[in-house]
Amino acid sequence: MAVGDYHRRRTAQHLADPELREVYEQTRAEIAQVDAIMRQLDHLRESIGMTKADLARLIGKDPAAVRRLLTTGAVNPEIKTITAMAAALGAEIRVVVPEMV
Amino acid sequence: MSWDIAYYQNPSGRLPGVEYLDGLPSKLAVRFSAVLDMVAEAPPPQFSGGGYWEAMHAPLTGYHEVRVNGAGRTHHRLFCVLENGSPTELKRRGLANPAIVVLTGMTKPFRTTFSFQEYQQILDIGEEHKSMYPRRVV
Repeated sequence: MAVGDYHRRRTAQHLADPELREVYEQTRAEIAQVDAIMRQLDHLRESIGMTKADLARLIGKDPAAVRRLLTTGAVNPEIKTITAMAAALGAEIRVVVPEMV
Repeated sequence: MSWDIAYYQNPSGRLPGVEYLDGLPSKLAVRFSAVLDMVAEAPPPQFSGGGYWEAMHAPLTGYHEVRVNGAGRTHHRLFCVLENGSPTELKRRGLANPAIVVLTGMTKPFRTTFSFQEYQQILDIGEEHKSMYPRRVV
C-alpha cells in the first residue's frame, strides 16, 4: 500500500455517509473562503506596492503578525483585522449571495 | 502537486493520530480530514489555512497543528510535521512525494494551554519519527 492510500481509504469511508460528506464539504468551503480573502488582500497589497510592514503600521498591528497572516497563514484572522486591512488597501469586504442557477 | 497524507506509526505498530481521530465524534474527525486534504492540495507552504491550519511556535517550532473546535468550544488539535526535500532525500525517507505526517492529537478545554509535559510528548513522538529512515508511516 502506497503512502497516502490509508488516508484516502479512510476519508472515502467517511464520505460514503451523506451527513459526514456535508460536514466535509462545508468545512472545505469555509476554509476556502478565508484563504481566498487573504490571497486577494495580499495580491491587492502587492499591486499597489505596499509592504507588509507598511500595512501593519496603517492598521496598528505588529508587522510580524501581518507577515504571518499574509504568508504562512499562521494565525486565525479576526474579522476586524481583515476589514482593517481591506480598508487600508482601499477595499472592502462584502457578503455576496451566489445566484441560484 | 498534491502532497500525501500519512500517519505516524509508533514502534508498537500503533497509530496515535488515527486513535485520536477514532475517539472523536465522526463529524469532528471528518472536519480534520477536510483540513488535511485542503492543506495537501494547496500545498502547505502556500496555504493560509483559514484558521484551521497553523505553524506552531516554540517549543514546537517546525511542527504544524490542525485546529478544530468541538462542543462547548473544546479545542481539538492534530499535530503534524511536513516532509519535503529533494527526490533523493524523500526516497531516503521512504516517501514518493512530499507528505503531511499526522503524529498524534490532543484535546483541551476552552481557553487553556497544553502543559509542558504534553508538548514534550509531541516532541518525543516527532523526534522518534524524524530519526527513522525510512519513515514508519501508513
